[in-house]
Amino acid sequence: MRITSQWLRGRALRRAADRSQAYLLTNSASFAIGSNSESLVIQGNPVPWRIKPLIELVLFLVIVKANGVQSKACRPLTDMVLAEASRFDWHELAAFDPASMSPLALTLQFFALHGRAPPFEPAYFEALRSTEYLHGMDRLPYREMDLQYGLSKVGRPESEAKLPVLFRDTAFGRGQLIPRYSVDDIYSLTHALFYLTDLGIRSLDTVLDGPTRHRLRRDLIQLTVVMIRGDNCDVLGELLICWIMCGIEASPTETAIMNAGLDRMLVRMTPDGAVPPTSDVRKRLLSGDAGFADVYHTTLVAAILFALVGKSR
Amino acid sequence: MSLARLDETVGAELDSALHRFSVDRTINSILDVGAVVEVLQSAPQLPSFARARAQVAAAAQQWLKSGLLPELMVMKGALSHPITLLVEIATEAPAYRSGDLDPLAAMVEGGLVGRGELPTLTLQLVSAAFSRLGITIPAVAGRAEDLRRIVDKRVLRSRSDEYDLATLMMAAQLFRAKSTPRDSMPKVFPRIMLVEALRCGHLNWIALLALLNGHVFPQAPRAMMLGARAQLEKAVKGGTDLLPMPNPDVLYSEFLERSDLGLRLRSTLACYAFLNEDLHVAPL
Repeated sequence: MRITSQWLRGRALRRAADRSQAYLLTNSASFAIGSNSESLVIQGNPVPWRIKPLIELVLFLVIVKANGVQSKACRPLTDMVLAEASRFDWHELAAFDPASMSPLALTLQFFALHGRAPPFEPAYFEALRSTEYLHGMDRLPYREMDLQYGLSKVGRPESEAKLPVLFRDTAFGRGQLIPRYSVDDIYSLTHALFYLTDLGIRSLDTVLDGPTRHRLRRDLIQLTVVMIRGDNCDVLGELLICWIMCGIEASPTETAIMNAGLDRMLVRMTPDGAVPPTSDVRKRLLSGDAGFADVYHTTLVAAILFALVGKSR
Repeated sequence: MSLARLDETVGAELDSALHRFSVDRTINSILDVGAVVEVLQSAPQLPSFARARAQVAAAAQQWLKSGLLPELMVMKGALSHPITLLVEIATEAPAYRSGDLDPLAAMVEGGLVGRGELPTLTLQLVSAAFSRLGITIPAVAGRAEDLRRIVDKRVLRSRSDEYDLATLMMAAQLFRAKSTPRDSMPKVFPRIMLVEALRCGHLNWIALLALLNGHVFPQAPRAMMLGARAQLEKAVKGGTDLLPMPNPDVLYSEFLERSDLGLRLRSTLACYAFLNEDLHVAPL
């Protein structure tokens, strides 16, 4: 019986991976930098770009490539990103917003992964880095990890050594109690683990000591349970991704919890492959009252999760 | 309006804000008082702040003793910085007793306070303040950066907003916590900000930046300080109320929340202190 249910879940996960990626491909035009920008107004001026969806798609593509996942959708999505990013004026963005350094680094990494020259002047990027134009004064520690991880991938390997130090100032690093974790605190943990594990490539044994790994395992499973009992598939999906990236050998109880989380993600999916973050958004999406902007991030999270879990099973 | 009348106006508005905080506890009422305590703690040595400090300290001591401030620390982690400043200033109240800190210490002991993720500078400030109060929270792991260089590097940015002023005040508070000599503090960025505010006639910012340049960071050149004084004196003489809000084009910041009254009260208080203090400006 157990073998049958595992086999059924495995088949469902493979189909879910295909469907979520099909949604991304069908809606690839919505990831364009000019899309969804109507409501973005800064200092009274409309800003003619919104790069967040595209950059999050880039992260999806980098993760699946780094983990050796094969998929039919990745090639056309990659081509779309390369074309879209090549058309955009990254110099203008960087001049406007110093916080754009992390997206610039990720874009540079993505283009290098595909053997392409960066879509902006490399000397400009280096000038921004060396003058510390990008230096934030009051970044959240996990956001600083985001930046240092990005820099470590584009010719600054020394930045990698800062990751475990910065991790100690995150909510997890400061010993946050489970009942006190905010959603932002959980995102801090999941993103920090993406970087510490080098997107699932590096063993945590090399960056965290034994007691910290032990506490991490305990907190990860407890937070996963909290999110399964709640209604937030976006955070739940990221926690499940971390479980895989951290390469933790699950006990039978932990396996049961992880499977319950996967089931929750599976049943949240709509027929066209979108994965809304909450049941309310799912209802609104099915009735036409919600759209791409409301679901693309959780769908990306689910696509990463289903791709990685399919590979690891 | 005269300077004495301005002082009265600020005092009355501050009293109202403190009362609203006591009874409403809405986000706006917290932000109003938070904006005031930010400026008070950026230049605590100024005699012109004495009355406002006493007003805020007396109220904050009541809020600390009753457990309100520790409760807000738990419920509103994003406001940890201004709430920490209120705890600090509460210790100046004549009615303050060391036992007033017990509710906060208990919450730290129980892990309810001090473990959340805070932006780097905020974390350093909160950690330093708690340390001065004798309450231990987990240490800050990130290495201390050269704060002067980081502040001055901000001139490379293409735009400024309220966040820049907030970080200038946080930097001022951190330099004070570290007993940094004034001439080792940043001067390029505070001056550029003041020059821009002067060129735009941006009174709300001129008041605060004149105070910071005149009494906290290395003093700006005489012409700049006199220019700021002239604009503020003219505004006070012709005005009947608090200084206006910051210009709409610099109000936006995705990083912090501000209240309208808080920003007006903060800058009017700064304006009063700047005009009232005997400023020995450096020669041209």
